[in-house]
Amino acid sequence: MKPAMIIDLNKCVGCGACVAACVMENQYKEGKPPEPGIIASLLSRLVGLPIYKETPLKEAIKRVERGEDPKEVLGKLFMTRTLVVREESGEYPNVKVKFWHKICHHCDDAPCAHVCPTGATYVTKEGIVMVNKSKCIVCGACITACPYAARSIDVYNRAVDKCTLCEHRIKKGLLPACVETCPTGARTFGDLEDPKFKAKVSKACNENERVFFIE
Amino acid sequence: MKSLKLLSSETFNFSVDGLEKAREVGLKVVPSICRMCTAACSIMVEAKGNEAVRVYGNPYAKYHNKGHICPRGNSGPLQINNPDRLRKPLIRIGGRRGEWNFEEVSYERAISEIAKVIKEKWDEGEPHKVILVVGQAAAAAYGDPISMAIAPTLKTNNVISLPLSTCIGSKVFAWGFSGVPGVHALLVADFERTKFFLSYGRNLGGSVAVGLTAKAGHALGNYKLVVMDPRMSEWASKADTWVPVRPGTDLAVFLAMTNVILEEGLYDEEYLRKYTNAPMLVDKKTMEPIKTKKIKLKNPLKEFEAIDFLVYDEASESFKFSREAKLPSLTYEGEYEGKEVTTVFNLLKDHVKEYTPEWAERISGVPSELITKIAVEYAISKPAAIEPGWSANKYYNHFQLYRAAATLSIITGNLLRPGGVVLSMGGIGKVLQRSPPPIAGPPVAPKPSLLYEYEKKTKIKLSDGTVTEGPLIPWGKGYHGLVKAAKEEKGLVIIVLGGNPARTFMGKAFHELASSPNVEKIIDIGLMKDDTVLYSDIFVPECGYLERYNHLAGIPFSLAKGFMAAFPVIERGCMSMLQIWAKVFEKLGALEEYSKRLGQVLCKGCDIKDDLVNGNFENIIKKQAEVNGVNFEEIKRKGIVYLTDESWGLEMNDKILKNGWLNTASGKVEILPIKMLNLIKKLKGGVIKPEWHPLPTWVPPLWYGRLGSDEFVLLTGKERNMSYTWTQPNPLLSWIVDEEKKIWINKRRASELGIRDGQQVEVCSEHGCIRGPAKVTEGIVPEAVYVPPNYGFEIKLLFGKYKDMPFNVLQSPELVDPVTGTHLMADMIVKVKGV
Ligand code: SF4
Ligand code: SF4
Ligand code: SF4
Repeated sequence: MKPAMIIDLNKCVGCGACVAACVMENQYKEGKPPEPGIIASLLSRLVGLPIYKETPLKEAIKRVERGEDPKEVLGKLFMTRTLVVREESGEYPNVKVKFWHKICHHCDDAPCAHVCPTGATYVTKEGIVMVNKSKCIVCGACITACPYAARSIDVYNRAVDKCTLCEHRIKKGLLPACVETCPTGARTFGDLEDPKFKAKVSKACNENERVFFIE
Repeated sequence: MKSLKLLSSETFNFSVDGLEKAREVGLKVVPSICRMCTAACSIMVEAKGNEAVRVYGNPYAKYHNKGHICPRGNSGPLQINNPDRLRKPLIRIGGRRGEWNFEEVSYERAISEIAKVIKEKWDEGEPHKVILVVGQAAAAAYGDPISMAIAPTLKTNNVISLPLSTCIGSKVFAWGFSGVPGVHALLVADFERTKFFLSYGRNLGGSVAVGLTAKAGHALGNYKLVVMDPRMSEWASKADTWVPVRPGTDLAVFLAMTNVILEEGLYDEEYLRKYTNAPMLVDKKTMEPIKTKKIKLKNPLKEFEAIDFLVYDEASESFKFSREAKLPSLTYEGEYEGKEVTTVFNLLKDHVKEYTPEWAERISGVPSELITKIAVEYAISKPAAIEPGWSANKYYNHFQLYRAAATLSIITGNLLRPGGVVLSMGGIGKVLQRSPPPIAGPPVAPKPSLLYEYEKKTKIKLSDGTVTEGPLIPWGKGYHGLVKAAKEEKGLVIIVLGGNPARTFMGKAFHELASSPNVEKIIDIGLMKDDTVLYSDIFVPECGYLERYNHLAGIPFSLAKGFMAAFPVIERGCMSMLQIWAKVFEKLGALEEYSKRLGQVLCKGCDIKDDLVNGNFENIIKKQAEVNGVNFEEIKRKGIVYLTDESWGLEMNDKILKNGWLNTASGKVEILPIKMLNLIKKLKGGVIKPEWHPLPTWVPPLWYGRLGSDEFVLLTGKERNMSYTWTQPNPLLSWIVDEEKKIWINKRRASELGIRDGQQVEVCSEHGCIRGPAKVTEGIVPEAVYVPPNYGFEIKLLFGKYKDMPFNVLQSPELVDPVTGTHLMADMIVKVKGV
């Protein structure tokens, strides 16, 4: 079993359904945030870092009501493991638009895993790059090392957060949330050991990853 | 991870197996219908306790949204749990409308107040002074119940439908005159079977109705895509050819395409001879059919009267009625009983002769060679589809634009053909029932109504400089009539159902009404804290869509026949729209009447009175299921049940075409609409103007020829996060799935004005100004400035964004389409400056 995702940029209309589905699946649905770990509690006591106790929505309401900037608050609380950004090139009227996808590529030889000093970032035997949040010390090395800007900070856990290929869903036989919702079928998901799926991948631009882009 | 095998690379991006497996292990998933926009996608909602935590596209919705949903659909739980939702009814205790001065009251109290207001009108013998204003979402969810049960029980025929009056009116009529209802859900491009798709006036990548995006998107690559749009929208970015066009001039391109197709002989001759009125013999001068006779026709639902028209039969070389002729001539010219006659086909060909590609280039900015190329490709790619239209009415000439689109679809033999433009399940039903002409959609006011009378008085300036009184078709659905009525009629009561007219397109007109002493009360039955509540006297909250049932309903946009329904995911002690009205009518002693009417609409006359009062909607769905041959347990589990596959719809389209069962006078596809000729005679004394010429005709948009060198034409459209009135309070939509830079301006023009990317700019029309961040881009025609329609608010919203960008202040309720009276969204000249 080698799970992988294909993102066909010829089909992506940049609608952002994948972004919304990921946030809802991985941040909103979780509901109650975890108890702050030892490191987080320690840090918050020593340097006064805030501790977030409520669900992302409740936390956001509380903070914005207090006058904090909604953009900043929501950006922190609703982590975007994936984003779709419009990129324009050319001059009017010869304009091309492509959508760049922020997402972990689940690299075969993952630079983030190499630089992680604690072993918090690791690669599963199926090739999914994961973070063990309880081991993460937020040193930021992986964030710098990632060539795809795919990692962000989880303020709840004081750890690094990233796409898990929705491991929790695929284990149950469900599709990753972003793939399931994608209206145009730009994001597809399958098993590289399935010859039909593999055949689709041969059109992709980088074969040394688990998220393939077709341009 | 063995179960991964469940998903094969061959499947769609969704899985029924996965869903049912998840259910088996205890996941609570309830089927519902998304109401984040009007498109009614079928969804499955995951609940944890009394919380809706996730919304999924329903994998059973094979011929609808195919298991997918858009960002708005995904963000549904954030609407339900939004801090700006109002949970309690409110009654104004002082202050003017526009001031927040309310007392929270019980449902019981608010409902009594509403009943009292209505009773007064009844007692005064003026029930028609109650005016319903139906918002986008309510029209989509309760269109028929409102117009066929709530309004008649209120004894009023004054119903303003905001989608009809601001978005789709002109295209509804334009397609309607050719015999097919032009309502979104009823007429669709058949993406899955097409070879060529000509898209215009719409952004399928950022637009509502992901069911269509899913069909069009999955099939990308199987058809050639041409997108004509002043802006490089998300959808345009997918096109094989993006055709930037000056705003409101796509009509010129369509007319030139029609010309090319007819001149080059690329039309579908057989289709035109057999199924259309192209061979109809008409008086050369008046365009009147030279001879007709009444005939009786019978379709599976109805026996009806139609007319047949005279043609010249090339097979027998004689004049015959079309249904008796073997080979009706397209090009006959000669004499009939001493009168010079010609065919509609000849008329059309002559009529569009002046519209050359070079002429169209001068107007639209689209190179003439490109126009010719697209025309040829569109005509020879079989089958080819053209966009039937979405929020269409943006420019003054939009009625003619959609007449031209319909004509293009007809002359190439693509209307009601697989891969062309086809009737959906609902459209098929409306056509077979011969619903009120020409829309076959929500009924036109049954009797001339108060609004109809005032609409007729609207003065409209025509392109030839003359002024006409009232649009060609005053149909009592627009708010320009209401604004006039409020100047003369005392004691009006306005009831808003599910929308935010104070801040969407009705905007200014609503503010004017709210400050008029002639408007006695404004009642708002809605959901969120919004500007309309601020301008109301009584507010009653209805349930959010995840908190209520949705009665069994047909599937929009679908060629397969089936039904969908929604079941409450969570329980919040709220009341639904239909129940609120049951309670109001109970107090008015009219419950019997209301439930009878509603029973008629919902389940062919079943008795639902007790269910309504008790809020037992599950029982109503059961009754509906029985009447429609649907298994209740199945619909409860799946949310959507198909009785057929898509071949049913394709076959019905074929039958309607071949038997001549269309909703026209002749039953055939009409290029020259006979009903339209009659209307012009009846309402405009037979005077034909370009605006309502029955053949597609050039009418310039209002801005045309008046644009100063420092001015722009206003352009609007759909964004990926745009959910009508519910975008802004939704933190995910307004802050996460949003593009920050909003006001699109061409790079060259921006640099001339010294405007930088991201800079705050002010856009002003003669009616008002807005402010927002500029997006300096190469992806827009130099003449246009694009402003999204879904921002701006007066009231305090916790997660609100771009308060100062209310699109509607740039508009004027006075500007309407001269044919249908539909309000113009964007035909305004604006200036832009950095601030
Ligand atoms: S959901 Fe699909 S089409 Fe939409 S932005 Fe994501 S990948 Fe692109
Ligand atoms: S696979 Fe899951 S975690 Fe990764 S981007 Fe998609 S939804 Fe987010
Ligand atoms: S298009 Fe999106 S918002 Fe509209 S009904 Fe479908 S999922 Fe809901």
